[in-house]
Formats: sequence, C-alpha cells, structure tokens
Amino acid sequence: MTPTLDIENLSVHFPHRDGAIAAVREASLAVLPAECVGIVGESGSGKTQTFMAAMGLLSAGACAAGSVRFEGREILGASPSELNRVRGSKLTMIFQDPMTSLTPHLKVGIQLAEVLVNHSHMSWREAEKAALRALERVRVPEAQRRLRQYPHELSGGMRQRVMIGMSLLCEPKLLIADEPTTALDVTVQAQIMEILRAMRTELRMAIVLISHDLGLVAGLADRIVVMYAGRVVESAGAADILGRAVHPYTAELLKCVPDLRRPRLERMPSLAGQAPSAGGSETGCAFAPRCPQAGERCRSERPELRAIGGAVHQAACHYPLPA
Amino acid sequence: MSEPLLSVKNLVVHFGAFPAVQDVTFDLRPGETLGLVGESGSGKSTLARAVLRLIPATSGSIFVGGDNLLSCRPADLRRRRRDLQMVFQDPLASLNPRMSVGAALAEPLKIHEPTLSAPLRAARVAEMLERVGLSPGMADRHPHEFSGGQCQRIGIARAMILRPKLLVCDEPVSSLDVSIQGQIVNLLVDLQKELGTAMLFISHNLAVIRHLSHRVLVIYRGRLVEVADCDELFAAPAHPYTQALLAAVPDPTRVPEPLPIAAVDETPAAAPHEGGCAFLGRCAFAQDQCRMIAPPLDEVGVRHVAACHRRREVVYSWRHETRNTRSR
Amino acid sequence: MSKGSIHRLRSNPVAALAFSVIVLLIAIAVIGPWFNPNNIESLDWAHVAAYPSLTGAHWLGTDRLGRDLFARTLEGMRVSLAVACVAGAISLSLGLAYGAVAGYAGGRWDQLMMRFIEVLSGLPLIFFVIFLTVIFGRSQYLLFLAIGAIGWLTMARIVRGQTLSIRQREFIEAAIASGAGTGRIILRHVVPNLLGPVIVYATLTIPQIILFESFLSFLGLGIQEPHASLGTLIAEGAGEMEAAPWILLVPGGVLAVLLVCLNIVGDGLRDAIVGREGAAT
Repeated sequence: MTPTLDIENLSVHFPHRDGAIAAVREASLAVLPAECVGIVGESGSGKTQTFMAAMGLLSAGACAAGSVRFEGREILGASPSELNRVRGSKLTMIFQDPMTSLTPHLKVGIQLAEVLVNHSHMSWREAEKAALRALERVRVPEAQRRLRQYPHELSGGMRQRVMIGMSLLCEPKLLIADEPTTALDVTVQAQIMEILRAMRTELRMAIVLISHDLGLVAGLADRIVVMYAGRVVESAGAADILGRAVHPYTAELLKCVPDLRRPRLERMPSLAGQAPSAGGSETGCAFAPRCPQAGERCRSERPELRAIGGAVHQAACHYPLPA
Repeated sequence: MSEPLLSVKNLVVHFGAFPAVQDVTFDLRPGETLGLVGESGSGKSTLARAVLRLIPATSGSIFVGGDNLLSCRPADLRRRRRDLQMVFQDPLASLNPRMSVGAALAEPLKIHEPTLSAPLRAARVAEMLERVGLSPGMADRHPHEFSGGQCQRIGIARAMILRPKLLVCDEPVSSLDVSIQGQIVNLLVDLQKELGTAMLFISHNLAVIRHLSHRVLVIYRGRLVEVADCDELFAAPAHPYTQALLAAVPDPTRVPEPLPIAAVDETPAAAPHEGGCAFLGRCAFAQDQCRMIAPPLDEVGVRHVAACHRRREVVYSWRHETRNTRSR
Repeated sequence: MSKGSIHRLRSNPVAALAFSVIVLLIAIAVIGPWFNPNNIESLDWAHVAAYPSLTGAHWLGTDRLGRDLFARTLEGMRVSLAVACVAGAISLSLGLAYGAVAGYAGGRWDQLMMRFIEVLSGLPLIFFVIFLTVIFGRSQYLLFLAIGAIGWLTMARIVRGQTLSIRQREFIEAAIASGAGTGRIILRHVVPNLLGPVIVYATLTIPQIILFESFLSFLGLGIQEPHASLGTLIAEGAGEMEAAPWILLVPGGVLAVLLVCLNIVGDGLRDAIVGREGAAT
C-alpha cells in the first residue's frame, strides 16, 4: 500500500550566526491511508518543523534535505505552484492558534468559500452552500449566523472548529493537526477530538496529530511516533506505546499522563530538566542528561533507530526497557 | 479551627452590563491550597484579579487579616501587596523583557524593604533563584534567554521573595508542556510547605488541581457551583458540570466516549436563563424545576456543597458509572 | 540595546557604511580646523571667490568675501549638528515624559493632554518663531528652544501610542501586583520598553530638525553672521549659483550626505530593534 505521506531521512536546518541549527535530524515516518499517526514530543523536539517542511511552510532561510512523498509524488522542494495543487485541498494543516490562521478582516463564510472557489472551481453561491454544510458537519451551532461573523467574534473552540471545517472542504487525504487543542480548555479539547474522530471515520482520511500530550494523542492515534531533539526515538502501534514502551523517554512521558482513577500521588510526575533547544552538537544520545538509566555508552555513542521485538516497533536506545 | 486568612463575601464583578463574577463567597485558611476550576469565560481569572484588587470589584468585600481590601487607600493597598502575590499564566509575558532577571527579583525588595543594602538584596535574589532551581549566575540574563518552564520559575521566585501569606496562581502551568508541568506544581507545593503560604490555584485542568488542592471550588459563569474537599470532589462530584470536567480529562486506558454534556455551550454569557439554572442548556439531568428556580449551593456531604437540585442523584449516577467503565 | 540588535545592525552593510560616514564627517568637523590654516572669519582678498583646489591655499575654495569655504562648511556642520542634538534632546525628553504620562494615565487625563497637543499642532509654527524672534531678538538659545518646542509634539504622540499598548501587557500587571507605584512603573517598566521606537524616531527627526534650522537660517531668523550653519551657507551659495557654484555645492552636498546617512541609520536601527522583538531566540 502506498503511504499517503512518506517522509524519509528528513533533516531541517536553520541558519544562525554561530552555525546552522538542526531542528530535525534524519527523521523518517510514514502515514498510511486512513491511518491516524500521533507525533509526540516536547517543545523543541522538531515535531512541528517536520511537517512544516512537508507542507513547504518553512520560514525563509531554512533548508530541508531528504524526501517527502505525498501519494507517491515528491513534494519536498517543489515549487509553490506545484505545492498549491495539493496544499489546502488534499493535504491540509491546522495550527495551534486559529486566530492567526484566519484572516481577521474577512468574514468566516467568505474565507471558507474562497477555498472552494480556488481549489474546486465552484461558483461563489455553490461555495457558500458548501461552507454552510462544512460548518454543520463540524457541529457549529447556528452555522448560518456564524458564516456572517468575523473570527474575533468566535470563541477559541469555535474558531478551531471553523479551521477544521475549512481543512475538510476539499475532502483531503491527509489532515495535519499541529497542537490543535493546546490553547483550549479540557472540555473544548475533548469536543475537538471527538470531531476529529468522527471526521476521520466519515471521510476515510488520514490524520497526523502533533502534541506534547501523550494522553491526548493516545485517544485517537493508531500509531505513535515519539520525537526528541529532532530525532525519532520510538515508533510503534498506540497499544504498544502505552503498554510496552521500550524507550526510557516514552516511559517517562507515560508517567506524566494523569489517571484520575488511581489515588492521588504525592508528587506530580514530570521529567527532570528540560528538552534541549534545537541545534547544538550531538555527542551520544540527546536524552542521556535526563535519562534515569543512562550509561557510559549513551553519552558517547548515539543510538540508531532499530526494530525491537517486531518490525513495527522501533526505538533508538542502547538499553531499551524490557517489554 | 484557625481564622481564615482570606475571606471573600458576596463578591460581584461587572464589566459594564456583563456579570463576570456573581455573588461569590469563600474562605481561605493560612497554609491551605484552594483550587479554583472552570473553563475560559467562567470568571475564574476575573475572580482572582478582583481578589487582589488588580481589577475593580462592583460590590462585596474581601477581608484579609480583618481589613476589607476594597476600602483600603491606594498607599495602604500597595503596602499590603507584599502579602498578596500572583503568578501569571504566560510566564514570558509576565516578565519585563528589558529587565534582567536579577533586577526583576530585586524590585519587590526595593519596594517593600527599601532599607535593605544592595549586597543583602543581591544575596536574597541569589538565594531565591537557587530555591526555585535556577543558578544564581543567571541573574544577569534576560527573560527571552530562558525556556517557558524557567520563566515560570522566575515568576514564582519574584512572587515568593517577600514570603507572601497568599499566592494566587492563574493557570501557571497551562502554557507549559505536560512533561514540565509537574516540575512547577511540585515546586509550588514545596514552597508552600516551607513558607506556609496559602494558595489560590486556578486551572481548567482537574488533573493538575488534584495534585495540590486541599479544597476545590468549581465556578461556572461567574457562580460557584460546587465546593468540596479535594478527594471528596473527585470521588463524588455532585454537579453535572464537575462531572463534565472530569470526563474531559483524556484517559488512554478507556475507550473514549462522547461527553455527557448535551450540547456545545457557545451562547453568549450575557443571555442568562432568566430565573433558572445557568447550566440548563448543557445539562443531562435538567428538569422542569431547573428551568424555573436557580439552585443555591446546598449540602450534599461533609463540607461538600453543590448548586444542583438533583445533586444526590448526580453523585449516585457517577459512582454507578465509574463502577461499570470498560477498559481497553 | 540588546546584543542581538547590535549584531543585526552591524551585519547591515548599508547602515554600517552610513554610520561610518556620519562618524567620519563629525570627526572632520571636530578635528579639521587643526589642519586648516584658515579660519572662518579671515578675509583673504587675494582669493575672492576662488575655485576649489586641493593644492592651493583654500581646499574647497572661498566665498564672495574671501572666506575659506572648507572652514566655514565645517563650522556649519558643527552648528547644524549641535542644534540638531540639543533641540532633538529637548523634544525627546519633553515628548517622552508627556507621552508616557498621558498614555499610562489614560482616561480623561489622556484625552485632555492629547487635545492640548492637537491644539499646539494646529498652530502655524513659523509665525510662532517669528513672533518670538521679534520679542527676544535673534539668539542661538531661542533657536534651540523653538525647534525643540516643535519636535516634541509628534514624539509625544508616538510615545503615547506605544504606552497605550505596553500598558496592556502582563508584566505591567505583574509590577502593579508587586506593589509598584505609578512613578516606578512608568520609569522602570514603560519607558525602557518604549526606547526602541523612540530611538528610531529620534534618529529620523534629526534630519528634519537640521532642515528646519536650515530653513529658518535661510530666512534670516536663525544663525547670524559671522557664524555659519549649513542653512546660512546654502542661502549665500544660492545667490552665487551661476558664478561660483561651489559656494552652494559644498555645504549643500555635505547637508545632503548627512541627511541621507542619518535616514539610513534610522531605518537600520528600526530593523535591528524591531527584529529583536519578533525573534523567538
């Protein structure tokens, strides 16, 4: 089966006066049709830049190397006009802050209709009707009224629904959701996740869900990819990640997922220290300073990503945890 | 039973015609942590700022150590602020970008302890930096050189350097990665144990609230809808809204189910359900009486009140449901 | 200015070049007289309206009265820059103080203070200057005051606008929560965060001030004989344009170069400072 999105050995560098900063290092992952892949990592892990590179949205000056194929066709380094054939229609992305993604001075209905007029060559009237249907599909109450409102008149949760609606207008094959609920309350977050779940089933669409919250991702993803310091450190089916994680970083992240059913803990679990900021030299494993079981080998030799107990489960660790 | 450190009575805050906080009453004892839970727009941040008199209250009283803050003169109020400090939601934004971290920490000392000599001040700043887990050598750096978690530590250091009696924390970990949130929460708990500070901790995330609260207040549209001891609230939530908040915490061990909230609540808050319960439009337990009479905060257990006509049934249904949940 | 800003400024080649030119001109203006045997007042009847020649007695020629143009141009530059700096400083401090207080106070005080500025802005300032000159006679100090008194209006508006937006930021709230009084907040929290736009605007007003001073002197209201400013020199040179064009071209050229370089440096400063605010690292 051809993966909908196939990223191979992607590296992203940003120029800096003291040398280049590597945001993503040799990351490889694939998204199969109608599959949901969760990308988990802290700030600075490179999870966002990986997909910004895939969408051709890297800031000026950044260089991306490697290969990104969408439905078999190479899109890394493609010209804007080539990219625009798939971007926004078959390959869409929604971001953390919908306020900055929506044009503040245009009414919501116009922004939605515009997508269809540009990509599907509909007339404005047809596009407006389709926009209404899109809002209803993502369960925006009083959709007709919302179409005539400006983005700032909507709440954060509502704006995010509009963004989701907009990204689904052309029935995309892949939706990339970059921290879509981080700025929202837990209740709204749960509702947005429900919508994503429903849309995925309805449209048979693949989803990439990027987040720093493993618990959130686990509720939707079929497979989970864990990134740290620009590299993929573990990749497996969601059930395997939750029950049989082998990389110490993943295990630490799991401890941070709250479980309200268990009795209250003395200390709130967290990782010590902080994730390395993008760039910097790599001697040994980037996680070694924070790893509870780091050994000498970890500090000098960088572990390669390899299969652990089954081809689908991969991890980059010298001392993977026992299953 | 000690005297309450903070006693808020019938606090009302209106922004023009919009009632952000309506008739809120609660006490906070010395050394206690009170969790305040609600969504965006519930009025929790407004309440926190009103308690510290950072925004004007429309009516009510806020007693701190016997005096009503709302009738204090400005000079007097500024003096009292040494005991009433705040930690903000956006750690970077709450720090002056043009001020070094050391200067930011020294400022409260300069304001409230002006007789302190410069070397002593520097020593206090260094001590505080160490206590929050940063190295004193970082005092010369500026906020943009630090990560979000570190900036929040600096914010906490600034708030605690005067050893205030009350610390109000407005969503202090909401903008941080989940993996780092615990560091900050544990730091606050440690500081509280060490310095005996009372805390009013605001969040929309019950999982975080659970770790450090002794008691929890749940606020909806400017009104308190449930008040209970922490363990009691999580074991036996008596208001449908509290249950919705609990159900919204993602739990990877359960198959996700649709939320018990009936509909999305996006109606403007200024259109109240006249006379009836404010939660009516979203409540799965709503009945006719809810439409006509707004339920008051009423007893449902030991030190446990909830503003719901059917509170006992609500508790029962929650217990019943948690016994029967499916696992992956 | 932060390290990042300075770095950005230095890596902007055009701005760096312009800045060097300004420094060079100032250096010449200050040190030049040591190398020049002529002074600004001595009349050399042997070389009236002499053509510029680097090998001759007068490097840049002489004017109608035989005065050395090089010396006079340097004097003109010194005077023009002095006026610009002093007047600039007056308008900067006045505008900064007024704008910051108005912006922070907000409400009715703000409205009142802004109406006052608007009234003053509406007055035709040239009549105001003439009026003052008539009453107090021609004086260098009057010139400083007059120009400074005009420049502060726009500065106050800019500062007030910036203050209004800074006031909303969370670190101001944090300062209030710490118990800081209004004075401390304005001085330690508002003003330092204003400096970016203020410095840029100040740099860009210096050319305007020099032009205005030149204009006043051209009209005969500013610097008087035997002193020279670039404006008076240009005024003289204008009269001799056909016969001895260098009398106009030398001071005119220097003024043009100075203004262009100041504008470039101002733009460069703005890019450098604004760049920092936008950068994440």
